[in-house]
Amino acid sequence: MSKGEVKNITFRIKRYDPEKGKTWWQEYKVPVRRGMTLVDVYLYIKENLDPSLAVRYSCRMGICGSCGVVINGKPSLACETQILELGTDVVTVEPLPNYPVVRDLVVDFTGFFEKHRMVKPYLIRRDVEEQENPTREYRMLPEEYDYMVQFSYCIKCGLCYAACPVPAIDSKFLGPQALAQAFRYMIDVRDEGLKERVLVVDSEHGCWRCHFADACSAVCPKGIDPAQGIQLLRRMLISMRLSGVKEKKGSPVMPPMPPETKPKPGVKAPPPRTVKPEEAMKRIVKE
Amino acid sequence: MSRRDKVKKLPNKGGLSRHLNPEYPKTEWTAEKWAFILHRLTGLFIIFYLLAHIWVTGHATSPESWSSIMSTLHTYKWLETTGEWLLWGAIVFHGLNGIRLILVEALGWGIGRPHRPIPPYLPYSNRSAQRPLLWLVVALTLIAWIVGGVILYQDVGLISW
Amino acid sequence: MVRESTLMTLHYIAAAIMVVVLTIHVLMHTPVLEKGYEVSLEYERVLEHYNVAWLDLAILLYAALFHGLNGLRVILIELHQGPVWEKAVSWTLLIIGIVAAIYGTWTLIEVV
Repeated sequence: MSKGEVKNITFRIKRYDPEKGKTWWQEYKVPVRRGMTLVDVYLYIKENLDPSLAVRYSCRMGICGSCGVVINGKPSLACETQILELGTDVVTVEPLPNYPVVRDLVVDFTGFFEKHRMVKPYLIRRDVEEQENPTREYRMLPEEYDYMVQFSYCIKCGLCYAACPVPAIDSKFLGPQALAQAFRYMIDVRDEGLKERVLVVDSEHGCWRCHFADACSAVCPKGIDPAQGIQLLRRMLISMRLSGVKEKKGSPVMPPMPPETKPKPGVKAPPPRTVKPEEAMKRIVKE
Repeated sequence: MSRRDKVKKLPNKGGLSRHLNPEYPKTEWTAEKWAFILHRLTGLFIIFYLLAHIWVTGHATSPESWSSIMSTLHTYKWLETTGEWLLWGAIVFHGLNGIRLILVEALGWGIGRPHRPIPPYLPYSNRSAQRPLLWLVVALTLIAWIVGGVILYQDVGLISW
Repeated sequence: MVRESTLMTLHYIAAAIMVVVLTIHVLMHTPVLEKGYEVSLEYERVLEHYNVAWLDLAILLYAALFHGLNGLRVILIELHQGPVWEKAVSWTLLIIGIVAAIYGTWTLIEVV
């Protein structure tokens, strides 16, 4: 298809009206150009066809995590899905399953965020004084950082929770997102909150209710692998149970910076550590 | 009560009933999801068989009670043998897939190591050694099920050539 | 209250034990260790099995009951949630397990 060409595509959208308590499928015919995402289609529909359609989006670049919907049966971000790349003449759009629907494509994330909060997704240190008024950073090796970093790329879009087969029957299940976040802090070398998080994760509706359907990893838009994290979390809990380890010591605070040394005679002095813009200007003018 | 709480929300579960409803588009299931459902169904079948099996083998205390329970079971020979054949398939699949699950879930094997995500974002756990292992499990199950079935039906005299 | 990780660790250990024990049990009814399936169900052969492999059968009985009923518990607490339901499921399955284990042990002692 060449650059400016327009293709007419039918959008089959699942709608819900909370006042009347009615659900129905509605079809819209939209001329689609190359590069148009589903968010652009929303805007076209609201502008030209039907202003009553309720949608949710914010950043349009896959970082805010508010535009998750099910497109042609696959949970995806509306802003990152180019319509012509789907390759179908009829595109089906429906709200994410496993969440209560507020209206049309807008779902209620309250329960999802509550589960996220349950695993305490923040750094826990025993020395609160140092944590609140830090002298320097906590030590972390590059390998340790690489091991943990993918789980902290989570944007809480909720696609994994929608794809997972377990929350469909077990509404109390923590879900892939919360468990992956728990794992991210449990493997963080700086963290000391192992005990608190094990209490949440090692419960009747915690990580043991994952059955490795691997649906969460297949839909994550940020390349995170929640299924992998949950399996490794489980391995961690089993080895903790067998070895009896219950606590983890966080990595220490880095030692203070060495004081500036005087240059040896005959050796040229290094340039000053930081140069403010106005000082740099002065020096350039002087030279 | 705020206005937000008054809104009547629609419970929208993504369970099996949704997948059977023709209104929705066909969803692609990962192979692991099929394996999970099969593992669960075969497990349910085996646990009810186990309880019945413990009751049946309780008759082994005397020859009379043993022959009476055996003749009861042999009343519908085809049904009995077919049940046993299904049980054999269920046990082989549940066992072999169970070995895979012990490796993956308890030992963290075959799902790759956490790494910095590199575009295109393809998750490791979908592409690592556990996936080919699943195909191996399915292939071995089919072979064992069919071979075992032929031997079983021939042995009890329901088929012969 | 038993921790979930204790139960599930035992679940995996019981599974690993059963891979060995159940294989032996099944092979005793196949042409590998026996003349055939039909022959293995004759009363004398059954008695011999009990006497030869009583330890195998005992381990299998307890491992399979634990693994199976714990699996059933997992399925049931996923189907429906609530503290009353979860307690009821746990206690019912525990009682079924104890009764079945006692009955199986009694059979083993009677026959051997």
